[in-house]
Amino acid sequence: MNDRIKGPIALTLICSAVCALLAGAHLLTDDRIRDTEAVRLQQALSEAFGEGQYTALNVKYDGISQVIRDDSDRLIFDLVSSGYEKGSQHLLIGISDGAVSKVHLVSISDSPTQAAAVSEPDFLDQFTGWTDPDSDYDAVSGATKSSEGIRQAVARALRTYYENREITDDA
Amino acid sequence: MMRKTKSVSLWQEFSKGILRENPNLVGLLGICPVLAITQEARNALGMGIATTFVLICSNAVISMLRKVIPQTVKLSAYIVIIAGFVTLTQFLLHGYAPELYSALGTFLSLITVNCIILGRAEVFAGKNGVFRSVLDGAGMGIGFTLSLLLVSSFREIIGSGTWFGIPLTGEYKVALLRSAPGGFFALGCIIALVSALLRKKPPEGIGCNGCPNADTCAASKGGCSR
Repeated sequence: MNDRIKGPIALTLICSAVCALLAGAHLLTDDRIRDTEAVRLQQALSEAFGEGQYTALNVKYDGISQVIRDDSDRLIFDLVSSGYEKGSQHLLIGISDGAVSKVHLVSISDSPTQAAAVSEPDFLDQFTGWTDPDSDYDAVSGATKSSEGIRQAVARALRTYYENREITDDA
Repeated sequence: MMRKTKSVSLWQEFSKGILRENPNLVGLLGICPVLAITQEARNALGMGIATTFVLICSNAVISMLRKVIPQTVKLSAYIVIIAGFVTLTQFLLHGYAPELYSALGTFLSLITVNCIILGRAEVFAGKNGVFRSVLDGAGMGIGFTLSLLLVSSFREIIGSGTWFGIPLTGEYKVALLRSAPGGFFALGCIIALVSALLRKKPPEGIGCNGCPNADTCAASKGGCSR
């Protein structure tokens, strides 16, 4: 058979086999990954906002995984943002009385050095008190995209809060 | 030119990657992860095991398919197979070792473009039988893991005063070794040590005279003149 025909056929078959293998692996590990992520989220909530009762609200907004309300009626936005890799940052952003009260990184899969740089309280605490999504901030040198991913997440949470304030208050 | 596999014993096939042809310390391949994730020995061991798993699996599959993959799509097919095993490793680590998954970060995905894996697929697995390819992958993977462990132990003990998180030297530590320049320094020291152990001689000449491709180059148009 001509190589011009044989090549694409061979490549299609290899791609199909790899897809089947990954679909099987996904089926096997999906539940476990979900459980792991749920435990990690609960730990992150307790670590960042203290022990207490957290209730996921029955609302759905673009770019926000879920909105959680804590005992003191504070809203916590659970969302994913992109640093050096698409969807590499998982954050919790607390908003109370119209201002950011806490930014917490649940996980970050940019490089370990960049992850360590933007996980520093000095960097994350600068967002506390923000009421304007377009406020200025100081990015970390050497981790500019990771810093920008976090800023965009904070801005998205604030915009969602202001655009849907009545809904989130009633939900 | 086809490799003469019959003259090489199975043990030699396996053991060559551990020291004599160590992909990192002798071949100087796959340096990026060595510099990036060797601040802690625990992460380095995890990265080494993940890479070894991908090396063994991809070598085995590529060797099995070597007669049916046409030359025109060889590289694309190799990349698809390697990326498939890397994604499988990501699923497994995310589900069963989430802390290691987070610690390795983006470097886990980058195993796909680790030149050791693609290099072994092209140089060895694409030309040899399955069993020898698995042995080659295991040997190269263990060699890579050992070099990661050596560099990370050096950096963690001297740079952080710990080893696998166990406190060792207390307050006495050299912070430079935790940074990227410290990684280059640690890797350089270990490469020098391995070269001394292997009694490697420096190149006889610099420029065209010292180049192993000088004959081929001189014969081509516009190449070097010897």
